[in-house]
Amino acid sequence: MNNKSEEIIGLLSEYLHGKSKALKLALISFFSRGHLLIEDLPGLGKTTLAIGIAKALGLSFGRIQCTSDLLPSDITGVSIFNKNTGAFEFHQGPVFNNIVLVDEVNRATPKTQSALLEAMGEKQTTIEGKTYNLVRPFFVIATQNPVEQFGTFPLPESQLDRFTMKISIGYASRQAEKEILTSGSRREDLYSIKPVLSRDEVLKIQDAIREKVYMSDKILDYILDIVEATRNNKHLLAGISTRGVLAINSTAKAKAFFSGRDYVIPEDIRELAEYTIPHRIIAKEEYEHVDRKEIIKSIIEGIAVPA
Amino acid sequence: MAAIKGVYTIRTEGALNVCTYIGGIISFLSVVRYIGPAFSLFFIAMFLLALYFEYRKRYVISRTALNITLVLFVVLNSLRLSLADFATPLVEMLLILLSVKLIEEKKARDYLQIYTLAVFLLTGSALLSLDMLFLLILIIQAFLLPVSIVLLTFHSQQAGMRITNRDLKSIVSRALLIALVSIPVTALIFIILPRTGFPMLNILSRAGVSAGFSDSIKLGEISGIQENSAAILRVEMKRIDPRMLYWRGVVLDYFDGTSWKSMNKEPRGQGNFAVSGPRVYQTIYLEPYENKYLFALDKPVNIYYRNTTISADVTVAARQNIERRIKYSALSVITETMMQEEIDRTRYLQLPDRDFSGVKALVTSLSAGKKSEALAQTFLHYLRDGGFAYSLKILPVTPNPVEDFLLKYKYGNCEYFASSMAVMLRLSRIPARIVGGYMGGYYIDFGNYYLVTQNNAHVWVEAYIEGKGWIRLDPTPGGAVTSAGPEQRDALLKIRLFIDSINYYWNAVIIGYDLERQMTMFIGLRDVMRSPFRAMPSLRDMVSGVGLMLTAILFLIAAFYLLSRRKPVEKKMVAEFVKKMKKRGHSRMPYEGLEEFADRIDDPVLRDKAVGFAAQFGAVYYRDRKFTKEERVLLEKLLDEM
Repeated sequence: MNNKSEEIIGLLSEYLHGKSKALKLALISFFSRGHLLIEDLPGLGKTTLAIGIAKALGLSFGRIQCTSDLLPSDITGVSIFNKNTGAFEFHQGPVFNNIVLVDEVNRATPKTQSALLEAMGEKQTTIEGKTYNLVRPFFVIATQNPVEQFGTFPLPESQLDRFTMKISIGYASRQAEKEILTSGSRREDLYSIKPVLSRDEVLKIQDAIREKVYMSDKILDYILDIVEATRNNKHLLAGISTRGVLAINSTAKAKAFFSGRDYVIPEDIRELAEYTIPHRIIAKEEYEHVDRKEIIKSIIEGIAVPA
Repeated sequence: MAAIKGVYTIRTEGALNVCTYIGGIISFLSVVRYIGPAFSLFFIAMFLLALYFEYRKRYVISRTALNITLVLFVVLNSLRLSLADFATPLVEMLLILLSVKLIEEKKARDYLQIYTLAVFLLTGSALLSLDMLFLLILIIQAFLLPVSIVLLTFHSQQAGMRITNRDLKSIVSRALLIALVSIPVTALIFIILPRTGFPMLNILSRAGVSAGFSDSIKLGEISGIQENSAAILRVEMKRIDPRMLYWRGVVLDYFDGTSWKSMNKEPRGQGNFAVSGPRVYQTIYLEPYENKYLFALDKPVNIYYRNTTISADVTVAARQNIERRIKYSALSVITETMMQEEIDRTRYLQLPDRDFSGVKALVTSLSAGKKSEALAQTFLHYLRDGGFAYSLKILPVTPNPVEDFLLKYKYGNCEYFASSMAVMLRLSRIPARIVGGYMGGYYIDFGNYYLVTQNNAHVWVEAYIEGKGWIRLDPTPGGAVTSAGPEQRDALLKIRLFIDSINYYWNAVIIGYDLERQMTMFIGLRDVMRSPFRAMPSLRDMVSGVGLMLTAILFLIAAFYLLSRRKPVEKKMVAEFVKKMKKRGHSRMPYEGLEEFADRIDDPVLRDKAVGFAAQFGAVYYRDRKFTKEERVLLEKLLDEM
């Protein structure tokens, strides 16, 4: 299974020059049944990443471009009256895809945001009093712009908490950009790549990660040590939530799986910490200007690993 | 290998042999006191031969021949075994086995056999005696054997191996630790086991008896008792007038002309026995000897020891012979006279069918109208100041030694004086008997006790005077018996007394330990803590208190050490890994995972090994599995390679 992930990464890095790290993180959050928030400047390849993952995994893909006039039904779907049958017919929205790219999520109004986030959290959506289960697997990649101008509704921390990881892609390296320039963007080719995995295989891997990867008590204690430290930290107002703990747990398992192990080691947690933790914590007002990643780093460096 | 200053290498085999031979000689020393001289000589010869073989690296005697001889010897020797004396032949046999093992060309198993034999010999020596020397040898062996076994492990892994003196030092210090750690266990056993005393197994031992005191005295046959300076009694008590130090043993009432015997004893009845005088309470440690009588200061009123009987003539007897050191307490009234209303006159006037005409004439000439007590005093003076000489020289054995002593030779030991006195009294119709026991003793201030040795053995006379009872009369001229000792300025004697006092502490505190006593002592110590000057405990209590405290402290240290050292294997391995890496200049942060840390190492060769270790280790550790033996060996190998 491990080589599958390498195959995906190998396949996609042709299209995503120098973004293998982001790709790997995205795959981890996908296989840990989470959702991904990418905070980055526009035009750095977020969409390419999302499409690439969807295609490589042989899954359906939907895209929502958020604007302030986007309505919840634009995401979830809408019932339209059919004159021929004389009944309302439900037309599924983009959320009924396996992989949903929500572009510039902080441009949508809170009402629309929460509709999306309900879908993310519950893997179901309620439309006109009727609850629909979403397809499996279900993976949301949301993007947001860090420097914000006008007409944005920043996601509150409670919503942010629903994302398993928050990453940024960053500028491509000089070398990678040169390659892009010489060969041109290959976005179109992405749509025609052959999937590496089938949907069933994807689900199997997800199950295997959840059930087959062993999480030692020592590691659980290590995680809880970190969690407790964030809750008692003098710089922080709020620490990691229980949902956060679950996210740390499942991403660590996924990472272990992709590293070819069936057990979790402390590195799995440590290396993902800067993506899984900072967006979940709330710094005290006087420390708001301090980089949260730094706070988390210093907290983790204060905790001895087991062994 | 680069030579580092102060570090040199030693052949493990050499070190191993040194330890083994020292262990062998110590084993020999532990039993040399008990075995026959032939065995000692044989062992020494074999030992020297073994050293010679070792030096020449040639072992000329074939193993098969040795083994056949040994089997024959063991079979023959086992014929000597008897229930009465089981331990000595056994020990001798073990010693022979050991000496033969030493001259053989030694493989690993031969070394192990030597060590096993050494342990057996030590155990065997405990069957024979449990004294201070045993403790010393136990400590030495408990240290030496682990060292030898560790060295043997090295040696058996690789024959011509060399180790550095530093490694040797660490081996030695660890062996010391093993010996040290065993102390708490020993202390625990010491506390919970009842004292088995001396020796451990009565039935198996020959009781280490010193020949001497007996309940019959045959004149002219000095049993060597008075030239034997071995201790017989140690009596913890106040210091008293040395002239009153008569340790009463057995009463002898039947004289057959050459020897005195003890007739059947009747138990002491109620009310016909009265003494008055200062009471002295004694705690007595009696060494084993070939009889069953218990000694106490004259006149014992009560003796506190199980199954003892006091007979009408105030002889205290245990049920069987004293075959091991016993401890008892006694209450005595210090007096020369003892009132007893009714006595069996025929018994105490018995005289053998001998011709005492010479004595009779002497008695008549001395009597001159004097009666009972005055007459007895006259006899006493006659014997003490009448030209009789005290001598340990053997008198010619004659059919009538009393008459010959009184009229012819005029020298003899206390037995002659007392016998003659008793015969003279009986001839004058004064009931008389002989009392055997000890007289005098060295008072040892260091331990507040009297040391009474075999050469303090003594006999004296008791005469029955109407209206007064039994009075003690000691006709032996003064100074005959070694008396209490400040005048003894002999340096050797002082050393002997000092050694005896240490021995006494060993018996009193270690062998004679009981919990109640220790409790009392603790309470005493507590009182001292509260008011140090009011209640000074005796030196002895202090010594045992300090000993107990030291044991407790050692126990705590060892327990702490054990607990803190009892890291699981995983922790130890990681610690070693980290230590090794640190030596190579890579220090791991406590928050770093092992793989992460290993990845960080820049030396590619070392990094590969470190990564390999981290992966192997993690696969077990983070799966919460126990290491299998193979995994452990593999990881240790990886560690060694780093």
